[in-house]
Formats: sequence, structure tokens, C-alpha cells
Amino acid sequence: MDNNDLISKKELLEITGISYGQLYRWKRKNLIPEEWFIRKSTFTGQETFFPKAKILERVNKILSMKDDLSLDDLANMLSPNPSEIVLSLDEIKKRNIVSLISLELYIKTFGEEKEFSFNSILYIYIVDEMIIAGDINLEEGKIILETLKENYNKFNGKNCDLLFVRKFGVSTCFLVSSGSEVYFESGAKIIKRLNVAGIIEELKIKLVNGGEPNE
Amino acid sequence: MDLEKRQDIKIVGDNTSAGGLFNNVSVVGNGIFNSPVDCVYIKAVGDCTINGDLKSVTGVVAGSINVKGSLYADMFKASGNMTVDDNTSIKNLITHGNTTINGNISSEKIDANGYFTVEGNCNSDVFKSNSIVLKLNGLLNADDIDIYIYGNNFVKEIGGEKIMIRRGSESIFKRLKLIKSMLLSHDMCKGNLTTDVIEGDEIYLEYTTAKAVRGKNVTIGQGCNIELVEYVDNFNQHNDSVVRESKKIIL
Repeated sequence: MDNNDLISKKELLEITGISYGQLYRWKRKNLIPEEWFIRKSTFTGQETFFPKAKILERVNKILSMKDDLSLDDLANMLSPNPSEIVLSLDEIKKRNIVSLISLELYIKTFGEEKEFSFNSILYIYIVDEMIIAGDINLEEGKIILETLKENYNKFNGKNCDLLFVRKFGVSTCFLVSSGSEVYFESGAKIIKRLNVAGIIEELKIKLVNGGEPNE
Repeated sequence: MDLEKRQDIKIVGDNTSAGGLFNNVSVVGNGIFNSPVDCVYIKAVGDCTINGDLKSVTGVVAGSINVKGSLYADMFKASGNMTVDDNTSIKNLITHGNTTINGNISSEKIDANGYFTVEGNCNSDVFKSNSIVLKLNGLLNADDIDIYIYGNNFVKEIGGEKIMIRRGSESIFKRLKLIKSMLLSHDMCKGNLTTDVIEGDEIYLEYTTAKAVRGKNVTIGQGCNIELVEYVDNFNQHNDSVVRESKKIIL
């Protein structure tokens, strides 16, 4: 993601309507990563710039959620590392985080687990999204679950994309590091490309908000 | 925390310890810990050196403490010398002596008096200073910043919600007349603060030299020298101050 589109601190405050105090507090609470603060010298001295798309999205997200959550909860949620959330089977069912079909598919593939780690929930969640969207069938869901379980940890928390490809009814899936470009022969069709970091954020919101679909 | 296994340790003369888990640590003489220390309470009246990280719930320093690693504590009161080589996280820090942090410090409340030096960034919800010499070489980031100037202060950058920088009253120097005449040069009680940038919502400054001040409501009191002020709502300036340029920003 090499967008060189930067926004100055002043412009950011202007567009979003937040104050210096808020911005510094969010920085202090790690809601905005340190590396987004880019220093450049301008004719008025040093000024701070931000990657435009990322910061605007982040600020809007914080603004929309800060009434319901404490800043510490928010910081926890926005950090890219999977949280140490562990849920039991009953809890997942009760909180309606994923559909029963996907949950059963996972249990059928890997056997029943007493407690589901954040990563396990993430895998089910990804497959669930795709099944519900009608992109894949159950058998294909199983392939994706196996791929994720076997390979996702190899990315070591780095951002990656899940690609699902089909050609003449034969389907396959794989994981690539985020932002990399892939090209296929013309017969193959990319059914879905999912950014895992985006899904993680979505899932965290869902877990913290109690699992109710937040519209 | 499993308190059962933790023992107290008391170093009275010259002594060396391997470090490890303790309940109460008390150093009256000259104590050296050769590995990280994790304790409930630490008291350093003599010289204490820790060759590693220090983790403690509370701590009191009346002598001198030298932590060669990082420092984590809920409450720390340093009246003597304190040096930490790495990052520091203390929820509530009160310093009266000479404190030097060579990394970053994050905190909820810092009350700095005496000599206070931070090489990295200083993050806190509340930052209060009555320091003779305050030297922050990184960003001071706090919601509520209240600095009384007594000597020469330097802060690289200041950001926060409410920022008050005022000259302290001279009364404490009157009380300390003897010390003043012995140790401090005359203009110590006429201190100032130098910084690059101040950004906040409510800003009040006295005796401050800055390149840029940006805020919602900016008041420049006595003795300031500011190159650029950018304000959103209100701007007031004392006659004795120099502001080279002031701009209203329309949001």
C-alpha cells in the first residue's frame, strides 16, 4: 500500500473537527500508531503529516465508537495483534458471532475444542462470511479452514490476504502477504480477496460489542 | 502475585544480591542486584544499583537508585537520585531530587520537582512540574500540563489539552535563602522555558520561548518570545511579550 497521499496535522483537525487535545490523547493511548506521525520540514519549520486514507479512517472509527468504549478498550481493539480472547463453544453460539453451519463445519474438520482461541474464531469467521455471501460451498469452506489453520501463523501477525480462486468449477485458496500483486491465467477467476487485518478489526469490534451485529 | 514465595531482603552494609523475586527490598548501605528485581516494595536509603529491570508496586528512594534496565511501578517517590536507563512506566511518580530517565516514560500522574530529565518521550495524563531544571528531550504529551518555572526549562515539544506554563512564585526561594545564596545563581528564580512547538486546546504561557504555538484559545502572558501563533477561537497577548506572527485558523 504505497499511497504517498499525506495530510498535515492542521488539515486533519480541520476535516475531522477533533482538537489537539484529543489527537495527543489518542496518540498517548496508542490509538494512533507512532509510525503514522511523519515529520517533514516545511517553510514554517517542522510539521507533522499523516497517511491520509489511514488516519481519516482511524479517526472516524474512534469517533464513532468512543462513546461506547473506553479509550483503553479501543486501543486494545485497534492493535493489530490478535487479542487474548478465548471463548467456549456455548459462548460463541450464544453471542451469535458466527453462524451454526460454519461452527459445525469447523468442529467436523478439526474435532470439538473446549475453548476457541481468537485465531480459531477468526478462521471460522472468515469462512462464515464467505459462506453467507454465497461465494463458497461447505466443502470449499473446509479447504479454507485447513489452509488458514496450517498457514496463517506463519505470517506471524503480519498483514495478509486470503485469495479464493476458481477455474472450471475447480477451486483453490491461498494466503499472500498483503498488498502484493498476483496475476492468473484468463480462465481462472478470483472469487474473493479478503484482507485478514480488516477482518480481525471487524471481529474484535464484534467480540467487544457483545456479538450483536452492529449496524 | 504469589506472595508466599517472596522473601524480604535487607542490605545494610556493602552487599551484592543475585536479584529475583522479593517481598520488601530495603537498601540502607550499598546494594547491587545482578539481575532483574521484582518486588512488592522497595526502599533505597543508601546506594542501590540494579543491573536489570525493576518491577515494584511501590518504591521510595531517599538515597540513590540506579536501574540499568526498565522500571515498572504503580507508585514511586524519589527524593534522592534516580536514574533509569530504559523505558519507565510509573502510574504515579513524585520526584523531589534528581531524576534522569534515559528512555521514555509513561504515567498517569507525574509530579516533578528538583531536577527532572527525560531523554525520550514523556506521556502522562497529568503532568505537574515545579522543577528547578526540567529537561525533556522528546515530546511531553499530557492532558493536563501545569508547569511552574523556577529555572531553565527545556522541552522539545509539548502537546495536550490544557497547557499552563507560569513563573513560579519566589516564596520557595525566600524560604531557602541560604541555599540560594550558596548554590543558585541569581537568575535561577527568573527562569524560562524553551521549546519548539506547543499544541493544545487551552494554552496559557509565561516566560516561554517557542517557534510555534497552536491552539484553540491561546493566551500569551509576560515575557514570551513566540515566532508563530495559530489559534482557532481566541488569542490574547501581554504587552511585554513578542509574537512575531499570529494567524487565526478558520475551521
